[in-house]
Amino acid sequence: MAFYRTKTAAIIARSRLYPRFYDGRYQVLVGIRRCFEQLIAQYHADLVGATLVDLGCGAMPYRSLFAPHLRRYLGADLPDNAEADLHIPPAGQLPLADGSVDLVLSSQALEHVIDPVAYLAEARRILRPGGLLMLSTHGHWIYHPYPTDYWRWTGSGLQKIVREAGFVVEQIEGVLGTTGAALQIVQETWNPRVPPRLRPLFSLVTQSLIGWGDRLHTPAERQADACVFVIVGRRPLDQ
Amino acid sequence: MAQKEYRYRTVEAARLAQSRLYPDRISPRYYMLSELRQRFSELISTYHAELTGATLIDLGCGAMPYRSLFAPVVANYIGADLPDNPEADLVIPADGRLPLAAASVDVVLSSQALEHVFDPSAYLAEAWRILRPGGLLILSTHGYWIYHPHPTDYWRWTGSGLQKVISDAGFMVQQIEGVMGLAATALHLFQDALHGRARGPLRPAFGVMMQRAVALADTLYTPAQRRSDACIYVVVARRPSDFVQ
Repeated sequence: MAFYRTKTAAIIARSRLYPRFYDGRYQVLVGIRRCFEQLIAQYHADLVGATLVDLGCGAMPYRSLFAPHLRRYLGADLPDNAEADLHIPPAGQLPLADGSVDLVLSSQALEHVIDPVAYLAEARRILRPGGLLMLSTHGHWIYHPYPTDYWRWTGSGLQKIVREAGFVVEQIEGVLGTTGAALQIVQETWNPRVPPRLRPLFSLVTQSLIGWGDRLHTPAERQADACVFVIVGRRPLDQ
Repeated sequence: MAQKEYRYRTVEAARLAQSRLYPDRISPRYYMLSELRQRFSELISTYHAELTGATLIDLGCGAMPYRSLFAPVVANYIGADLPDNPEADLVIPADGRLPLAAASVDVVLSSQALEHVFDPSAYLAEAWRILRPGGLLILSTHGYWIYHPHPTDYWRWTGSGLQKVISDAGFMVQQIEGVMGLAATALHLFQDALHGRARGPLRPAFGVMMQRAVALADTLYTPAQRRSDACIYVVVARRPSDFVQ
């Protein structure tokens, strides 16, 4: 894919954006993608011609969804990420002027950062007044150090820190409610214990159960308790 | 020796404390609460010398379910909580600052409170302030748990995240234990997601069956694995002694 510097990143991005139907994280990955697709449609006017910084970009799985609408898509990450256009220095301060970007995207990054409050403050600093933060992170997820893994939130906890960092929370969505989240962890527990050849079949069964279990929850329940939260905050126009 | 009575101001609190300390066999929290009680009992024997004659503050005390374990050992057991808790000996004011002098207590106990507090760093800083140098913090909170606002519910941690906020508050983490590894946690969360939806006698039956499964599943993970990923963490940390140079 033309977007990527390394083939590995292209493969990771693709498998996160369009997971195979027998992928062990099919439901959650599809759920996150649909959330972002919906947000792109809803906030289309904000995206057109915008400069976006993907803060803690990893393999930038959602770039191909956002990039066609934007003027620029900049990936920022730690120095060990070859895909990053910008490196985040140890102090966390990006080489970007105050108010210089229109949109900050943060996908599955916040749980890994040393200081979420400082990270959100930096996102606010680089955003122009009126600019948007689109952020996804975990409610219930297994420990996955890349290289660290510290934080989880309830829906209200995540809204609290985003608000306290100076954003107006415009919406929050939960991907996989409590039942789906629990079954996803069941799957994570047992997958390594299943013979490798049987794993796709095992995933197919568990992912179907997760899809079924998730129907038990209302969007409001998911906003409080979920596997993944997707939140939109806006830096208010200058007060 | 006769069992000492711990007076509760309300019958509800006495019942609640009893049901948390010695849960009913049919409770959907049976396994978790039994394990948590066992962890606290173990800590009381490990740190027995330090607890003997100590002044302990239970910070965010609720119904003080573990009072009858700690109180026979310590000299003073003081419950501190928000103004709506009639059991509290000390009311935590709105600014979070307790009416206690710096370095005036020996032990701070915090059980299933940290996930509800507005500002965990400020809460831990206050625990540090009231503890004497060398004093102990014994804290349990959630890794994974269903949303349970009392009246708020904000935070969850990985084992390393919890150690980080506690060390960042100036403590030395002495030990961390996980209660219920990932497999048991997953089943517990599944139970909690569906328990309220089961009707009539199905509900206790479902709970009992799930608790059996949780207990079985808990044998799958080692203590080391539970330290990074667990339903509940129990941490012991120490306010370092002041150094004289």
